[in-house]
Amino acid sequence: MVFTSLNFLLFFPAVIILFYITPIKYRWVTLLVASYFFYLNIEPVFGLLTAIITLSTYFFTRLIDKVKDDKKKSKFMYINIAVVLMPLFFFKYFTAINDGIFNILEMYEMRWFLPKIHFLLPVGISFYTFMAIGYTIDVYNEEVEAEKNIGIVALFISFFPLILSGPIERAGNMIPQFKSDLKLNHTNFSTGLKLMLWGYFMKLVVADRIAIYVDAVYGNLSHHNGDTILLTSLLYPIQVYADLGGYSLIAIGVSKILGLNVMPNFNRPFFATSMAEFWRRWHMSLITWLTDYVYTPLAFSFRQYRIFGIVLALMVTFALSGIWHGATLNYVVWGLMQGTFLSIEALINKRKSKIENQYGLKSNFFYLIFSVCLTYVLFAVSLVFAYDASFKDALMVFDKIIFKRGSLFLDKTTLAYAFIGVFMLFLSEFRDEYFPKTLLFFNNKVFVIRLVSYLCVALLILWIGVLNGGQFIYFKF
Amino acid sequence: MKLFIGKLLLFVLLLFAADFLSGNVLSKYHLKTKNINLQNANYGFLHYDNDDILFFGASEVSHSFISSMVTEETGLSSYNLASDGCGIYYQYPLLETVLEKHTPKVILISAYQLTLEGSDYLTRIFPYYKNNEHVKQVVDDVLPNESIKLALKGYVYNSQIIRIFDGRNDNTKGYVPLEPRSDINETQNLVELPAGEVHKIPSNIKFYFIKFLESAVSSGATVYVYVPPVLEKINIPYLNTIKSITKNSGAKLMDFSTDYSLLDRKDLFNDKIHLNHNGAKVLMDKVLAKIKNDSIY
Repeated sequence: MVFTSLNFLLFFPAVIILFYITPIKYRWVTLLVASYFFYLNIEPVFGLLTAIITLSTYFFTRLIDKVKDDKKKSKFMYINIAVVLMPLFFFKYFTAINDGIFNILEMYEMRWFLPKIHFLLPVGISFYTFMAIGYTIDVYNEEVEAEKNIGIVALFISFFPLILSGPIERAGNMIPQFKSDLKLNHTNFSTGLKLMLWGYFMKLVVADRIAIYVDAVYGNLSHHNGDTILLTSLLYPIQVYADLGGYSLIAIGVSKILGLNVMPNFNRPFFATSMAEFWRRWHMSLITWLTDYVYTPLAFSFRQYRIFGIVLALMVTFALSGIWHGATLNYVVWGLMQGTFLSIEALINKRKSKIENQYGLKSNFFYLIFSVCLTYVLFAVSLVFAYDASFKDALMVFDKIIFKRGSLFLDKTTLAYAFIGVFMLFLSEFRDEYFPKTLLFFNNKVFVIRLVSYLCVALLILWIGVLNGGQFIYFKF
Repeated sequence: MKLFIGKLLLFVLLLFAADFLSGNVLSKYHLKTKNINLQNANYGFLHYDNDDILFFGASEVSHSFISSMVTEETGLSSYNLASDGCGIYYQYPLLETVLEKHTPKVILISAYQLTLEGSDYLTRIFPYYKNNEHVKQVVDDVLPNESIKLALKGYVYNSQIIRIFDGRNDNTKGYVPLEPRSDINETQNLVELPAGEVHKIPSNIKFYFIKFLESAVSSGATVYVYVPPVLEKINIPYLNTIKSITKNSGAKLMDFSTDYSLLDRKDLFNDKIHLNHNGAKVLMDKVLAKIKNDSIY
């Protein structure tokens, strides 16, 4: 069941009604049942994985909490991390590693005893695995107490708005909320519905429309010339943003309606003026997770190497981020490119700030535009490796852009609809970035303006949204 | 909370009202549209009367089959019912609708882009869903939940708004000429297709293609399956499947995929897939010669 399916539009009101009629004390039970129903609806066997991860996490966090010996605490933490990571490694990386060995041995005319096996990747496994690991480390670090109620732990790991694509929440934020008196109120309801409406707009009008063009070109690289591929490569980051950003807004909106506050996942990333700032605004739940549980401990370990320790920590963190996205060379290259960009910025940061201050560049409009565009282009270049294609295809993209120019493939209607969506999205974000609290539509004080705004967006979704119940990009991670 | 529920109900009510109103307005403009693709659809699904020679397919047909030239040469009326980007899910209900009114002498369908099945293209038949059982059958089969969405009047015209208000009517009986282009040059060489990948025929597409041919042949018309000249390497497994289906159905194959009198002349192409107007004229001569050879006229 995906947020854009008709099933979800029936499922969610049913959950709200059940939630409302359940006594406040037991509302978390309703959410737990609904979450398992939501996940089992995708593929019943996947429910076993969440149950195993829940049991292991509950058991070991309780042990960590009980024992006094630091060595034992640390041992239990590592055991649980290993147990929790096992399904992820098996489903995500076994196929890739097995295929790799198979292909290498085949090159030398040798036989590998295993055939090429392809398992169906359990949707959302990377997300709830990270949530379980984060919770385990937080308990170990005594930042949160180990939850005594296994039902609450199960709900934290399987909470239906977040299970498929995040945001990757923290136990410290969610568990106290699950245990509190969950109430429906009109402020939350209204805020949640607004977030959902805009999320659907981002997904259906922007992301899925751009996807038609991007898939037509990237799916048929050999047929298209450099100019067309360049336009596609520039559109793809917007598609990914509108896809995951749209999903996140719907997830946050759904949670809000149920009285739960979920952390934001994006903060107008395409207005960032550097890669460091970009990564503070893009997929924030993943990046803060990586910062807290990977980068910071690594940077601390490498502190004797000073700036080079930071560089090393950045490279390792983003290489891991790449591997988290997928077990292919492309994703590793993508991760290493992010690490390299950030490392270069870290190395030149002081000198850059000095020059910016000396010439007053920070307030210079053209410098600002240049920085925003450069950041966007750097990210777009790296994202060429993140499309579902081979490493050879990614190299073909650059080869064609540089050497094989030609006239643009103009799918006029698709691009025109995409332009309407992108224009509205960027206009709204431009307002929020530079002129917050002005020219408000969804949050205008005048009810009629709000109502007309909702109607316009809803009608646009109906008229030009791609309403075929398509998947979200991040489900595959 | 009561005030909020009241506002929410007001929003839902207004949304349905706006949808109803916009759907009706778009319906009127859709019938009057000057966009050639939508006009072709309206002609085939609503206004078709009794043409003798009909062409079905996607852009490789709409830009290549000059209906007026057919009439001039044969004296038989002709219409190019092809619609850019539309696959077999569009062609099949169109054929069934046409056959209910009249049996043409010749039916030609392109086998090149049967697999076009994007939702954007299927939306082209949504306006006929309510009153056309063939469209209903295909949509309900391919997109089972669509019937619920199609209760919304505005959704019927999803992704069609720009097309409805875009276009000019040249009364070309469905044919859309393309200008010659100077940038079809040596750099655009034949492209190797991954065998069996790009043009693999999904089972449902194959099912409707076979149904199309069966209906067309059993109507008594002479049926041709057209394989266009394109500047791509031939996908042999795909072509073999098409040949076998064509043979089993009793239709005739009109294969230009290896016609080097066309393929060697890049000046006849607008791009790798589409012939320009000069190319269309050359192709029509060849098509008409084949039809004449089969004693159609």
